[in-house]
Amino acid sequence: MPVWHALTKPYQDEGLLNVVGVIQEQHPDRALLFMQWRQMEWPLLVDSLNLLGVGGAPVTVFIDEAGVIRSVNPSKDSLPSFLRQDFAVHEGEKMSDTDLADVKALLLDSAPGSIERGNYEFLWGGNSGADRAIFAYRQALSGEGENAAAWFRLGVAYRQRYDSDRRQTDDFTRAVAHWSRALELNPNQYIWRRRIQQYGPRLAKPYSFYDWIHEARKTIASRGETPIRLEVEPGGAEFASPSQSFALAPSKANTDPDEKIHQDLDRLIQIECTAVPGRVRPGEAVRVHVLLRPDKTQNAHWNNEAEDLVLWAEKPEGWRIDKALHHYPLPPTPVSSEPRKVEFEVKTSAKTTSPVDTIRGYVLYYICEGSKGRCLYRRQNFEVPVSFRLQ
Amino acid sequence: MILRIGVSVATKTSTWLSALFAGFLCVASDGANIKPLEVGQKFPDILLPRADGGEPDSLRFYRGRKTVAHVFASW
Repeated sequence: MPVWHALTKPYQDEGLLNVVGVIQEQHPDRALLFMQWRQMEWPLLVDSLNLLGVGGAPVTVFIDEAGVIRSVNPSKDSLPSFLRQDFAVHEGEKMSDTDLADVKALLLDSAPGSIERGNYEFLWGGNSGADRAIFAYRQALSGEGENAAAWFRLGVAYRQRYDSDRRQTDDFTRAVAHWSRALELNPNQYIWRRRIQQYGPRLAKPYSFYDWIHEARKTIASRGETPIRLEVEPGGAEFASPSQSFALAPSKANTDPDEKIHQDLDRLIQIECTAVPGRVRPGEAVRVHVLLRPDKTQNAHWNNEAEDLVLWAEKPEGWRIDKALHHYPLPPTPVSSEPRKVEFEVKTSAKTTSPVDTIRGYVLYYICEGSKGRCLYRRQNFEVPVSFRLQ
Repeated sequence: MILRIGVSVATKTSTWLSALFAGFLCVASDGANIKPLEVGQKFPDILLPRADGGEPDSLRFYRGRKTVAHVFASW
């Protein structure tokens, strides 16, 4: 993209050419940061739902003055000839009356429970748009269960809600399940495939989804600018890792094997676990995302004037785990209430014969109840079911 | 990001909404009606949010001048 930018910028500056980007990722602000880093200034349209239907990226197209595509993935040296060429644009721009009626119908009364309504609510529905998009897609899918694009978009809406204040239990788990369903129906869709891979497990040859972000921030800061803040920081699976090593974790690292530390019975911390992908063949790897959130309704908040949060994960017999014991470093402020994420990977046993097996673990943390001001050290157990596709 | 754009839509509807009713924009459809990006086809007119929070945008607004469009992801 930066090479294209260098080529097109002079023409753009002279007013001879428009340059536009259409983003295909879940978190469009990451593309904004990329643009800031590379000092590229053209409009970015956001197509997280993959409405364009492109099966891969990047795709570069030359478009003439009337909006007709003249070249797909052209070579870079064909730009001057494209600019010189006269396409004899004459075609009328008018849409037919039928098209016009379709547009209005889509905006004003796309049928409740239709995929179009889902798209509309997701794009323009405001804060609660994801809720209504989910509702519409689900209804549409109850009649059109084979619509792969609708499954993908339902997953996008769930993941968006998961990243918002309106998050509900299992939103991320559902997103992964629906993306997987979409990909089963259309395994050639590279954009959808990447959406799942983004969250793990790390591939045999790790792909660096967002490794560039570290360098981008450094470079932007060195220019005296403030890097655009990301709404959701990329997680572990989104960075390439040099190796995928699964160790047999020493069991002595389990700091509370006899469950002596009191359970957080009030659930001051809400734990949500998601295994990605949702279903694997025996022997394949799974990445587990554990999300820990202080319960707002109880005014709970982390006590940071203490020790690190500790997470311990216990794999089923015969499985391997990349890291069983996790320490989550505490932020500098005395208290805080941010969501905390811990990720790890397990390699399942090739000999598994049951359709579901469970990873068990627990978290130890320092937590305070806001209203009473009482601070506690608590334990909470978690379970992550992993489903198998048995032959 | 998208949520914020959604809010701005409610308050700033002038340009794009009038454009919409002028009849030359395609609101997000189910994808089945959207033609693939092939030579000779028109680039789909879908109305989409802007990553910078600006008013909703469409490739339709860029007609009248030659355009290079990059459909991409930052990964």
